[in-house]
Amino acid sequence: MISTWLLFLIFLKVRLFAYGGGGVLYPLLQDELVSGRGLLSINQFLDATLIGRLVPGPNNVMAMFMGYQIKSYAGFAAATLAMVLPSYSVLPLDHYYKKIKDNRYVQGATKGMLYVIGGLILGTAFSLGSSVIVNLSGAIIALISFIVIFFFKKDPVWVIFGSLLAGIVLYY
Amino acid sequence: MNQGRLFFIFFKSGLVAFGGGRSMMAILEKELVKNHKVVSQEEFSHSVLTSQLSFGSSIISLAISLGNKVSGFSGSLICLLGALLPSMIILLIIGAFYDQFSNSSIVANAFKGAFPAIVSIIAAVGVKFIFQNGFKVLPAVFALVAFVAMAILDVNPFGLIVLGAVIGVLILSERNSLAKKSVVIDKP
Repeated sequence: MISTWLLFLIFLKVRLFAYGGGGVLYPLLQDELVSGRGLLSINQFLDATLIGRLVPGPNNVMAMFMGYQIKSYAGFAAATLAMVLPSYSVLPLDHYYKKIKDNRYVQGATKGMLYVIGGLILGTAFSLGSSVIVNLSGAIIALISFIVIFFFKKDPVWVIFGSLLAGIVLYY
Repeated sequence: MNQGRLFFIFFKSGLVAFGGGRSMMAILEKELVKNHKVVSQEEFSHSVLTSQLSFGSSIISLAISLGNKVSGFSGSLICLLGALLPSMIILLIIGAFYDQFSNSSIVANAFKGAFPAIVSIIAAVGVKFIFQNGFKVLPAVFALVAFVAMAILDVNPFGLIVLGAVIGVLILSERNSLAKKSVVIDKP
């Protein structure tokens, strides 16, 4: 079994690279934990994503739950600590805010990363989708969900409840 | 403000933070700026900005930054703990039942229905990211290249983020400075 220390470092690496928004956690966690090291199956990964959406708190909570799935309480503690520690970078930022914000290289780097991130998140959806959406009813659920969230701008929580219900009815 | 009170405010905000930070921010602003007046509106807005620039989750960073402003380093720890404890407790409760959950056929069926929806939720996050400032060619090209590289060519996403930052420094910061210069030149 993976050591708690290594698990902590993996989550820390993910959190540090997920600069620019919690959404980047999807591709990075999937790459490290599912396709990279095989610590989680695709279904476990999606379980955690679903639970992370239902539990109050930032996107971090799904990573915390993945820590629990991989190594119980020790994994949970490692993931939680790794998700939280980088946030302390806000204290020096509070101090040097203007200098950093006005630096044109910082601005350029941030822009470049933000432009890339959207593509990475879509890439994750694509690779997860190709293994999870295997029949017509799945494709229909995915399509309706996307329309409800993106065009009708409903909270994803409703989509989750609706699709859970649809699953119970469809696969009974 | 005593630290128990501070903890409670953040605990409450953490409890209602469904699907991200908007509702949490509203509660913190109301309690800290309007009700208790321990942070000024300007300080609050400043914390919101820096927390978005920081590494880590911006909500967690916001709690740390505000806690530090109200009562120093120990304040930051109290606010961090307060904001995160609700999620931790709920996660651990779900975790305790997780194995039984996954073995029940009705839960398995429900999750089977929800997985395609989760894929769409992730896809919508990605699309919103790309079009957050309307459609622009350069961001769309970056995103398309990143998508193809990751989903089809199986390139490491960490490397792609670093590559994005490097290209950003080379191309995008240059543009920025040109824009500034031209503004200066245009002025009479």
